[in-house]
Amino acid sequence: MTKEGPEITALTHRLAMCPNAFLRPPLMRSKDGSQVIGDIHTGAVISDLLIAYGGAELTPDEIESFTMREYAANLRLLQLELISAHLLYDARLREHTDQAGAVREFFLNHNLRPLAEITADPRAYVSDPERREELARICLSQMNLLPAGEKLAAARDRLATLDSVERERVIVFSRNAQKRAQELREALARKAAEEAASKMSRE
Amino acid sequence: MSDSIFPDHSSSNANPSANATTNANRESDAAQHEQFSAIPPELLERVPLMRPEWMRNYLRLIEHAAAPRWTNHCGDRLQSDDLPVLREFETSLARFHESSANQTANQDFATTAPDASPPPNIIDWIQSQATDCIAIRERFAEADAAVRTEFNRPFDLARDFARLRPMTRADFARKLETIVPQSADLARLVVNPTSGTTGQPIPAPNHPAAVGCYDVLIAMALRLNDVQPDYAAPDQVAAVQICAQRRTMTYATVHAFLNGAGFAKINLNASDWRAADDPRAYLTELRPFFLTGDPYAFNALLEWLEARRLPGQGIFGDTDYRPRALYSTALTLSAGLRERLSAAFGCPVIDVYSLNETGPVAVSVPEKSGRLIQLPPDIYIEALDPGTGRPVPDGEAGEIAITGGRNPYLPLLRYRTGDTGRVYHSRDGRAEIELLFAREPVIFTRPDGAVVNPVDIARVLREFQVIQFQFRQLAAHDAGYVLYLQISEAQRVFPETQLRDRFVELFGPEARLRIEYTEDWSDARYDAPPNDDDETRFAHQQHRKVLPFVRENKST
Repeated sequence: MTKEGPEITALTHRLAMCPNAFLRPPLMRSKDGSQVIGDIHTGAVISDLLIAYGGAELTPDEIESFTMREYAANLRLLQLELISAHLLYDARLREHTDQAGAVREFFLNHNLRPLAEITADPRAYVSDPERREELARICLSQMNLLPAGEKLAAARDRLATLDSVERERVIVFSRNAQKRAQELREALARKAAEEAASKMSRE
Repeated sequence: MSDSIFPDHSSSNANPSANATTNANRESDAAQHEQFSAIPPELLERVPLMRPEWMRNYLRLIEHAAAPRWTNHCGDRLQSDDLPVLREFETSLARFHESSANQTANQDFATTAPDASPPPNIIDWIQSQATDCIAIRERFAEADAAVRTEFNRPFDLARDFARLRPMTRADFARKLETIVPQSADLARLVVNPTSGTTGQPIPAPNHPAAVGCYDVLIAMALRLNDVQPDYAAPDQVAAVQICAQRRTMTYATVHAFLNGAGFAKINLNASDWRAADDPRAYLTELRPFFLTGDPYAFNALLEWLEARRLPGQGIFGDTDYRPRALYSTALTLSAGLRERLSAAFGCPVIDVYSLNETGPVAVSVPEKSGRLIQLPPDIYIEALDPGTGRPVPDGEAGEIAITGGRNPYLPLLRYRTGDTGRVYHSRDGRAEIELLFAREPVIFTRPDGAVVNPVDIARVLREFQVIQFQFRQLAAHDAGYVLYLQISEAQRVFPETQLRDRFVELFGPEARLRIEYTEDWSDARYDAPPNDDDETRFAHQQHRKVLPFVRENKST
């Protein structure tokens, strides 16, 4: 993150103004694969976005890869990707044509999947100011851009504060750590009462 | 007994071709089965690799006419997949000491620590632990933040090792779950009880394979002292551990890694034995290759044997038995006692610095007077400034800290042992230690003059929920004893009467005990070491370690 992008408020405002079209159900394949349901073809939207950055359009196979099976986590991922595509269509971002590759990777690698997995409703990234800021900062950092007027350390700190994935990781980690501590306490108590392993010297 | 009861053994011993099975084979199989059937299932749990041919040795240890009344059972718990681990450790240990011998010959010891960084094998090991051990990960993150702020660059383990916050006993006592690696399988965890002679005992989980490495390390300690252990012949007894306390766990077993050689832990306390002379008969008839114990126990054994020796007899009476070595651990071995023991037993007395949390660390060797040399290759030894946690230059007094080891449940990162010493590093990071103040033995006396081993007091206090204690015998004649106690908040009413009853068992009804409850372990509770060396005293006071046992001198 060395180059400066737009101000963060400009991007959060753009997210707040996200047209309903981007919030409509994305095209998905039914769980058995027999039907295609939904309205918006995410792959096509992303392909258009890449062209707007001066990059190559997606191949038919790549476009097709966005028509995922109708699982809840996939639905949330595609919704988040559509909202992000709207954000990244911002004219001030599109000036950074050198970042076409980074944008392409961002979508083809589905970098938002961890966020989608812990998000109850992706529409929060349009309606909730904190989540809007989080998504704006994630997209900027994926494009290696700093929010205008911010230093690298401050931008990193702010993103870390808003980072839902990290917060969830900490919660899960602390829950696991507690469980582990309990297992260890039980094992120590049980094993202390059992015989030890024979050791020829004392300490 | 029918063959079908032992399907595994019968299939592994059977000749592949039934037609080709000779009568001799059948007889041998039957004999084998008979012997297998003699291994009780509970023994197979304790010694999973137990072999029928070791049973005779095992039973001889347990059922000998002069054997004590055993209080416990114990075994090595080694499984077949532990053996390659032990063999690999044995190889790396031999390699380490081969190169060490060359290096010592070249006098290649630096006068100061060259760069206060562990050798590459230790760096790699720390790195491998960092993902799974929360305590190490936390220390990496702290050091990274500090290095970024100070030098504007990321943390580099080899370069910034000395910036890592050391682990302490308090971390073990309060945050053990952050030290035990997250993915470590707890199924084979064992807990070896600690004697508590050096402070509050801390829970130190261990693994049978890591405990098995003691056999490998002890064998090397013997070799470094020109004693060649050899357990190839059947029915050998490797060692007997001598204890001299009112009560302790005693057992006899065989060690699979030592070809089924025997080991017994015995207590000289008279009530453990059926006849007064049994301890001597047990030792002289089983003829253990070497004896282990702490200086207190060895001294007690020496006095016990001398009291029974008739004029013209050797230390073990009318027998030619001599242990090939005394392996002394747990407490500081004074030069005087060492000479006395060596002269009386006619064998080397090997002084080993070993902690329950770390395993054996360093060992005395004939070529080095006053210094112990690093025993295992997989640890890094430092002396730290107790105030800053940074290493002191080689040759200056500091708190001994250990990194590494082979206990999968306790990855040690700069673990502060609480002991003071001077450390000297070779150019490749191996260490020699001069222990300045470690584990001075304290011996208490009852009003009737009989001695009391501090281990017994520690054992009693373990039964009560005590956070910290200090037991003092006052200097003035008959002034009695003081026990400073910090008790757990969870314990609303401390069962003082029960504690006093237990105290009377040890010290007799005439002894006067004052109990003081405290949370303030202020300077009054810290003692300077019994040593006139100013530097040592300074280093010790800096540690502010509460001594668990103090016997006041008349001048105190």
